[in-house]
Amino acid sequence: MNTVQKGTIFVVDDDPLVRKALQRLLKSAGYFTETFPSAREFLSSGHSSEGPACLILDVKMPGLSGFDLQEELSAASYAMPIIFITGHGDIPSSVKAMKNGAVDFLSKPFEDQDLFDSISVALKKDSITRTVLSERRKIQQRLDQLTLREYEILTFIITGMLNKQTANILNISEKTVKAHRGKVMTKMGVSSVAELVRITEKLGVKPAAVSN
Amino acid sequence: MKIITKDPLQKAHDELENKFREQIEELTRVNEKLKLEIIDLKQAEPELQSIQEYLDIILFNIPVGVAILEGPEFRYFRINQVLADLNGLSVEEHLGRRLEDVLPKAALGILPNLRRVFENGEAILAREFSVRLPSNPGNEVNLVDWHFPIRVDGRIKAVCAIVMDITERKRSEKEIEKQREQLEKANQELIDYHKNLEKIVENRTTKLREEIIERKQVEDKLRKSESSLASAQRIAHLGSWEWNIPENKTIWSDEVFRIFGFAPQQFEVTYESFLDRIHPNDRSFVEEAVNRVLADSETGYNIQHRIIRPNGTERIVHERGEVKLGEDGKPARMTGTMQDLTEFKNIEAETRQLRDELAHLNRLGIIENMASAIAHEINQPLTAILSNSQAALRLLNINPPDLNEVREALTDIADADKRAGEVIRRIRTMVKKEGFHRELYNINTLIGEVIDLVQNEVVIQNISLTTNLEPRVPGIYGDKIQMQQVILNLIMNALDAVKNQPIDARHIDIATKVEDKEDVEVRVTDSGPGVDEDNIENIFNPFYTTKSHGMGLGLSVCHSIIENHGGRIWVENCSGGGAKFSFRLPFKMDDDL
Repeated sequence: MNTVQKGTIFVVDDDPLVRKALQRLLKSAGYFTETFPSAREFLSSGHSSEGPACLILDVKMPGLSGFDLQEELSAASYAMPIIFITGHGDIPSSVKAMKNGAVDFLSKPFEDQDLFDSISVALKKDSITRTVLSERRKIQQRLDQLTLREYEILTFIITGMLNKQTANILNISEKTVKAHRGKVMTKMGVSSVAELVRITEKLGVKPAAVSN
Repeated sequence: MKIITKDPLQKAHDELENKFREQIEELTRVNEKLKLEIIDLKQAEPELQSIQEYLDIILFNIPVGVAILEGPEFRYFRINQVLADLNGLSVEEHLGRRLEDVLPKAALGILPNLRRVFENGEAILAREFSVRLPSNPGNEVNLVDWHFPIRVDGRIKAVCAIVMDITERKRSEKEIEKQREQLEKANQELIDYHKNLEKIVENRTTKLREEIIERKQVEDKLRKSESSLASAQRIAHLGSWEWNIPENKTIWSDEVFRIFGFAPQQFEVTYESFLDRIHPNDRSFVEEAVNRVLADSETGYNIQHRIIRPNGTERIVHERGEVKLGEDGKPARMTGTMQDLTEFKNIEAETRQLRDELAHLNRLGIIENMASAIAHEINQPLTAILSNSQAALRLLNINPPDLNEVREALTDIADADKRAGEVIRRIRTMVKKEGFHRELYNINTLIGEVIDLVQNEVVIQNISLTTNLEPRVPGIYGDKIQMQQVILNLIMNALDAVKNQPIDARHIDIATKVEDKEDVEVRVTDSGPGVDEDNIENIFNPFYTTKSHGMGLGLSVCHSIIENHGGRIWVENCSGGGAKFSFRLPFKMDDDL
């Protein structure tokens, strides 16, 4: 069993019988599982994992409910995909949960295959999220290396403006612009303007506001 | 009036006066004649004798008393018989004698007058006086006298006295006065009567006027009450009618016309034209009711039926009628009322629907809460069981199988199962806590009580509900309230089943019967659409329902109650349509139950 490949499954349910059964089922299917008796304990654990992960969450629990936890998690930059499980699924609350980004909403008792299908969707979603996040982190690290002037030149480069035009606007020599540009391209690890535009877009860097 | 009554009096008085005047004139004439005769006598002495004779004749025939008294001693020179009689003496007893000697008492009153006449030459005319005369001392007589002087050669020698008895006249005057008074009294009475009459007439007139006013007010009131009756009829949609049976003429109030969709008094009504307006399906029913009352006038009829308006719309009316017999003892008239219940029915139906919805929502709310609680409690162990068993299957499939883990999974499954069982037991005891009171009751009485509860519904929905109850049904020992619930449930289901049937095909029958000498069987038969044969087995299962509303718990509750009472319940479709729900209860209950 290669748990790292399969991903990590967090289970939050106040019922020990259910927790234990799910842990056993998920383990038998090759998942690494961590279980928590309450939303609070899950939050305080830090719930970090190496590979993709998802959360199997009971709706009705004493203290913080499943929905409360979903709300809390979605406020952070990284939201783990959630599969809700409930003993008495009602349509309005499930719709709300799905709108808030839940992967699925399963009524207890559920077929193992339904759960596994949902888990595989959730993990895929999480692995994409994680890739995007790590890429953004990398780009951010590069951006952080630029000087203030270099960042300014970057915002002009991604508008597609020529060095001459940039020099005119900033009232510096074209030669200086060219030198900065070289440094920006190197520091950002890109070889073309198109590539620079693509990665800066991901971080939401705004091009210089220039009127034509 | 007054003048007329005075006339006879005046007339009598005047007549008397005239008579007197005439007599005095006569006397004067006689006197003048005497004077002349005396002169003549003096001139012709030889004729004196004869004149004397004439005078004497006159004197003695005149019907008044006359005397000539010679002054100054007033000796009687002449006196006639009338006066002598009046004095109660003979003529001879007077002549030559003094007045005071002849009439000593009367002389006192007469002498001064005589002297006055004699000395002054004045005549005293018509002096009236009353006196008691020696001739008739018991009675006062009324007299009137005249005294005048008799002159000879210009000198007064004698006084002539004329006396008249006016007692009779006085009496008649008094009589007349009395009569006058009576007349006046009568007159006054007449006047009073007249006045009274006027007053009476006036009073009568006032009274009449008042009566007229009063009558007008009554008429006004009547008119008003008639119009308020009409408006009351309009508001209540209640009309009245009267049917003259021998002439077959019917009078409808305006409102009846309106109920039937016509303008007031639009046409002449007969019994047939009334029947024509009745819904064809209800016509025979109405005719039967009318015929029944015609045959037995003691009871009226009180029915609900449909009518068709000219524009084709259907109305539901409530009609009452009663018969009045004629002198021949045969039905003469039928009177009654008709009320349009359509709006009322619509409102009722709406209210009922709202009530049903409310009850349904309430039921849903309660059951939803309960179901949600039950679902959560049961689903937790079920989830554990399913997940554990599926995990166990996987664990068995891997090579080598993790038998320890499988064992643990199976142990957990058993635990979860026990927990589920525990939950169910808990719910059961919760339900059982509602109480199970055993008492001896009569099932017929119980059915009657339940019918009372649904009576209103039965009437509103136009359902005919009949009972065929075994008269001598043994008492049943059990929970009366729960049994009431069962019967109520079955009747409510029957009401639901028949309510969409045509109005004359809504029938429910409730029967009790002793079966096999140890059971009481209760049957609720309806004329509804019957039970779906494919699902007849499921009908007592919880949550099975064919209704758009309702949770399908009613019959399952009935089922468990009957089973708790050691009985059984079943359903079958009737051959002629409709369903028959039956249950049996043993009336010999075991001691431990």
